Amino acid sequence: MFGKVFAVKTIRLVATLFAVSLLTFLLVEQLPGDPILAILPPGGLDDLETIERIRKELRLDDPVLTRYFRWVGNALQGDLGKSYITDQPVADAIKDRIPVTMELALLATIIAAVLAIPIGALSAYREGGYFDRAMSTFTTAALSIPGFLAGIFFIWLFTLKFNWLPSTGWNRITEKGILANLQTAILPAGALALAPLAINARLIRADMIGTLKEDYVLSAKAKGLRDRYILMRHALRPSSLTAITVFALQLGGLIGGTVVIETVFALPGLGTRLISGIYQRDVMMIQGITLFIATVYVVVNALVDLLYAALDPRIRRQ
Amino acid sequence: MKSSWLKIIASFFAIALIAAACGGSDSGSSDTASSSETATETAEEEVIEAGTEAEGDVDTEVEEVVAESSYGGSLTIGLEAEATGLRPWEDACSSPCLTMIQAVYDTLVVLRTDGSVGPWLATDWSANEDFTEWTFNLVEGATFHNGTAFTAQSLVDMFPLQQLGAAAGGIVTAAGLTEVVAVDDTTVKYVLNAAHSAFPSFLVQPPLGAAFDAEAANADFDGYSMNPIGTGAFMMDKRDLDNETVVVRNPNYWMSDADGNQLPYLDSVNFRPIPDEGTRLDSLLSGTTQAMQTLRQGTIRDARSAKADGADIVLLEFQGNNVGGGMYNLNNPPLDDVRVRKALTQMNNQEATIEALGGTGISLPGTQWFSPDSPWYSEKVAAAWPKFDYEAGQALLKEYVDDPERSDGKAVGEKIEVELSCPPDPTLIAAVQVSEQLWTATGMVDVTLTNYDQQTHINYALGAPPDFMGSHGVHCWRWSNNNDPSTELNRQLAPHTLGVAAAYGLDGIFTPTNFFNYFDIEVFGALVQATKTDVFAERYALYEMVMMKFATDLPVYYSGHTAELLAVETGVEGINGWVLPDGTFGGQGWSVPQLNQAFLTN
Repeated sequence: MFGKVFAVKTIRLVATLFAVSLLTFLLVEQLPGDPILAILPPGGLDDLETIERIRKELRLDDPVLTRYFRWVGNALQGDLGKSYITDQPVADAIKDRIPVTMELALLATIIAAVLAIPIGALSAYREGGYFDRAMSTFTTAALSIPGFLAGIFFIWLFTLKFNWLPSTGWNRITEKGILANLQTAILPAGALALAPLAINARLIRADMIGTLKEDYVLSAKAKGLRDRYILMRHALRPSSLTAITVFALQLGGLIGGTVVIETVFALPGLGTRLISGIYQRDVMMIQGITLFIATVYVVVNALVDLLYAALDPRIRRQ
Repeated sequence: MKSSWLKIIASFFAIALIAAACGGSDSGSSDTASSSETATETAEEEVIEAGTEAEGDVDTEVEEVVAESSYGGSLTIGLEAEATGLRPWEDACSSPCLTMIQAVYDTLVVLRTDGSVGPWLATDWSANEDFTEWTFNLVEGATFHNGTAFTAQSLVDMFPLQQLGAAAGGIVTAAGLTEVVAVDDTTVKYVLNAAHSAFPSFLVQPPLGAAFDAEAANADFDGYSMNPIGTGAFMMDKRDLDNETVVVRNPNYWMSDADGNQLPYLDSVNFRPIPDEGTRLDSLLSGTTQAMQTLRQGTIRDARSAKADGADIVLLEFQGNNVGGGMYNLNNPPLDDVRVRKALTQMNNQEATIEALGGTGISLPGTQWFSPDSPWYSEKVAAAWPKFDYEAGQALLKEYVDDPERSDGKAVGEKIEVELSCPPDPTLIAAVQVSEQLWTATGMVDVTLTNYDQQTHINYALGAPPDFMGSHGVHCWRWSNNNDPSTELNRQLAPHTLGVAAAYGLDGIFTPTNFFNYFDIEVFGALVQATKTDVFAERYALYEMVMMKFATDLPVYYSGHTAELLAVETGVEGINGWVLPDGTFGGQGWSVPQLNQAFLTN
C-alpha cells in the first residue's frame, strides 16, 4: 500500500517539476528583447558580428522547444548551464549559495519553533487572559509587517541604535566559526522568522485549546498533576502534529522567502543571485535557480505527504 | 498588567513606524528640514539650500591631501551591486564593477579633474598628422601580479581578446582600431582605420585601456573573472560573490607618491555589495563599512541628513555630464512630429520632476549633455533649451491635434496617445507621474504609464536584431559621461537603420544604440568632423552645434544631472586629491573611487 502511495506521489512530483521547468523557461522567453543584448555593454551593441557570434556560441538561434529540451536534458544530468553574464556554471552558483539560504531558512524555522511553541501553549493555557490577548496582537502585527520591513527595523535597532550586530555581510562558518556566523545570520533569520512564528503560535494555540478540553487532560488535572506537566506531556504533544507539518512546509517556502531578506541584508544566498540575475537578464541563472527553489519546495511537500502517509493509516487508505 | 502590555504593543508599533520612516525611501519628503540643516554645515553644500531650486555647482572641491599618509589598515566599501565580472575586455561594467576593476588593473591613461586625458601606465603619447596612428610611451618596471613584465607586447597580446570581447569589441569598432604594434618594449602604436583626434579617451575605459595578462586570460578565460591579474595597486585575495571581494596590497606596485614612498598605503580593501540603498547607508553609519557609494538622490539627501545629525562622515559629491530625462522615439507617431515633442517638453515641469526624484538642492536641471562645470558646456544651448511654458505647449499640441495631416492618422481633434515608460523605481515613477499629470491635464493626451525592469526597459527601446527598431514611446533614459563627447555622441547619433545610412550615402554605417531613431546628416557630419581636429575651439563649436540641434529637434527632454556620492568615515584620506604621475589631480567624480593613494588616519 505504501509503495503505491510512494509511486503516485513520485509521478505527481515529476509532473509538477516538468510543468515548473516549462513555465519558467517560457516565461523568461516571453520577456521582451534579446538576451544577448544584456550581455553586451552599450558600446558592444554596434557590433552586429559580435552579436551574431555570441548568438551562435550560445545556440540561441535554435527553436524554443529544442533549447528547452536541451536545458532540461542537461539539468537532469546536473548541468544547469552557464551564466550568460558571468560565465559561472549555474550549478556552481547554487552550490556556493545554498548553504547561506538553507542556514537562514533553518535558523528562521528554529527561531519560529522555539518561540511559537511556548507562546502558543501559554496563550492556550491562559485563553482570553492578558498574555493571550497581547500575543494575539503581536502575531497579528508579525503577520502584517512584511519581512523586509522587519529587517530594516532590526538593522535600525540592533545596528544603528545599539551597535550590537553588523548590518550586512556574511561570515561563513567554515572560515570564521559558528559565533561569527551567527552574528551575521541572526538578524536576517529573525526577520524571516516573524511570519512563521506568528502562524505557528496561532496554530498551536488553537490546537491546544481543543486538546486542553479533552477528557484525558481533565482526568490528569483531577489526578492533581502539575499544570506544567499536563501542558508539556499531555497537551502539547498531540497538538504538535499540525504545527510540525506546517513547519516542514514553511521550510520549503522560506527558501523562496529569503529572496527579499537576502537583498536587504546583502547576503550571498540564492535570493540575491536570483534578483541580480533578473536585473541582469541572466536567463540561465533565473531558470536554474527558479527550478531549484521549486524543486526543493515540491520535494519537501512530497516528503511531508509521505510522512503523513507513513504515520497515519487513514491517509494511506485514501 | 493590562496597561503595561498595551505600552509594549504600542511601543512596538511606534518603533515599526519609525523604522519604516528610516527605510531609505526616495520619495518621502520628511527629511527636508534635516537636509536644510546639513546644507549649512557641509562645505560642499554652501551654495545651495535644500527645498529650493538647485543653483550652482554642488561638487565637492578637489583638494590637496594635507593629512600625513601612513601605511596599513583595511578599508571596507559598500557598493551598489556585485561586479558582473572582472575581465575588462569581456564583462559589461557599471560603477561598482569599475571600482573593483580600478583597484586591480591600471589603464594606460586616466581622466584629470578638468576632463582632459592624463598619464598613468602611459607616460606620454602623440599622433601622426591625420590622427590615424597613435604612439604611446609606457612606464618602465611595471609588472603584473603574477610577476610577468608589463611591456608593449602585453598590449599587442591583449588585442585579439579585445577584438572579440563582449565589452571591448564595440569600443574597438567605435575607435576604428585595427592594429596594435609593439615598437619596442616601452613603445606601442595603435593604428586606426579613420582619423580620431580623441583616441586616447578610449584608453581611459577599462575594456580597451586596462592592462591584463593575456597569456593568463587565454589559459583560463572564465576563471579570470574570479582571479584577475592586472598591474594594479591591489591583488585579488578572496572573491566571495555577493558577499565580499578582498584585494590586498601589491608589494611590487610600480607607482610611488611624491615623496618616493611606494603605493598603495592600504593593506587591503574589502568590497561589499549592498544593493539596498538604506542598508548601505546604515552600514556606513554603524561602522560595518567605512565607505559607500550611491547614485541615488534620495540616498544623498539621507546621507546629508545623517551628517547634519552628527554622523562622523565626509561626503564627496559630484555631478558630471550624465543627465537623466526621457527620449522620444521618432519612429513612433505622433512623436515623429517636432510640434508634439516640443509641446510635451514645454509642458514638462523640470523643477517638479527633480523634486519628485528627491533631487531638489542636489541635482542640477539639464539643458544638454554637459554639466555647467564641463569644458563642453554651452550657455548658448542652455538659453536655447525650451523652458517650462504650459500654455505655449498646449497651443502647439492643439495645432498638431487639429492638423488634418497629423502623422498619427487620427481624426482632427482626437487625443494623441503616448506610452510613457520608466523602470519600477519609486522615485522614477513619481517623476513620470508629474509628466503624466501635466500632459493629461491638457485633455489632448492619453498617457499610458508602463514599468519594466531595467534590462527589459533597455531591450524595449533597443528592439531586436537585425533592425533594432524599438517600439517604445517616451522612455526614461540617461545620457553622456565625463569622457570626450565623441566616445558617446558619435555612437548614438549614427544612422539608426541601414536604409537611412544608404539614403545618405553612408553604406554600412549603422548603430542600434540610436535609441531615439533620430538622424540628421548635419549633426552626423559635425560629429565626424570633431574627430578630425584636436583644436578645442573647433571641436567645442561642433558639439555646441549638435546640442543646439537637440534644442530645436528635441529627440530628448531632460530632468536633472546625475548626482553621485562617496561617503566615507572621517579618517579615510587620499580619495579626494589623488594625483597622476605628472602631479595633476585626477578623477571625474567619486562613484568609482581611485584607491591606490587612499590611507587611514585612525
